[in-house]
Amino acid sequence: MGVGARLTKDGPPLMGALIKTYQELVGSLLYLATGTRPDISFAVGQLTRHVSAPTMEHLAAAKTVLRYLKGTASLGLTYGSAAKMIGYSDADYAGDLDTRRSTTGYVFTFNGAAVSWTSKRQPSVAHSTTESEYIAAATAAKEAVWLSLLIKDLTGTAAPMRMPCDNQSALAIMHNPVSSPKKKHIDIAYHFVREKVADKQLLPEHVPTGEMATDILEKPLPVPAYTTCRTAMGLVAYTL
Amino acid sequence: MLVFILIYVANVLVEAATNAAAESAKAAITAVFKSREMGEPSFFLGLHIVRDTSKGTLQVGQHQ
Repeated sequence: MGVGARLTKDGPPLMGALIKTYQELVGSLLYLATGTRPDISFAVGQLTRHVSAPTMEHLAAAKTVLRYLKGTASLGLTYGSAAKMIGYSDADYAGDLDTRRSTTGYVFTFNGAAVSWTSKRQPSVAHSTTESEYIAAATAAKEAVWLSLLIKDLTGTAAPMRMPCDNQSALAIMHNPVSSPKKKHIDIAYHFVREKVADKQLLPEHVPTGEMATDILEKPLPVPAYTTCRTAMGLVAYTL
Repeated sequence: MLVFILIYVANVLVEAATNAAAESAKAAITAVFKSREMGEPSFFLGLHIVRDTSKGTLQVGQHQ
């Protein structure tokens, strides 16, 4: 679903055995998306939301993913040798058309390829792009803390995790411990990220949108942007 | 010297910074458990593993 559509719950429902077919297909795709193919995570994330009431459109979208995979079957994650971890997080504001919730996308790359990634609809409606990005950063922060501990276990040292983000106002909230009336509604749980930044465990930094590897995890993209993100996550053709 | 031993049911990967360390860990395992030495891993739990030591790259894929 390189140039995939946003799926909604409306449409002519699938009947009989086709429902099972759809569910099995999505299960198989999920296995790939969590294994070595972060490039289909967003598409598969959308498909999984409709396993209980799939429509013809959903099945057609699932088949599009299959065709995409057929053409790109040789892609695998390619790791280099410079031991460095970077955690990108981003959000697509109100991307889910049924609930108007935003979508979190994060990817942690290590030695040049993805080791941990997520494309997930947020658990509550965000009031603004800033808030949705902040929620995404908080979700990524939890993973970052865990990964930092794992690296420390394996190597004996732990450097602060670089966390690129393309939203200036979300970065400002992370760094600034002052509350303001406009963000009082942001759940306390998300202020976890602020605490970790204050502790210098996480290093949020601003990067232009074009340099974020995460867009592919949140929204349908045109082919050039899709390919750029895919390569940024370390997905290149491999030969046996 | 750290040696990493990854176990999934009956599949075991032994990883260490030097061959000597990996070999001694493998010897310790084979002494106690009935096991077969499979050499460099190329396929583990459905994942292809391709290593290029000259370029220092490791590739992981699920192409069947």
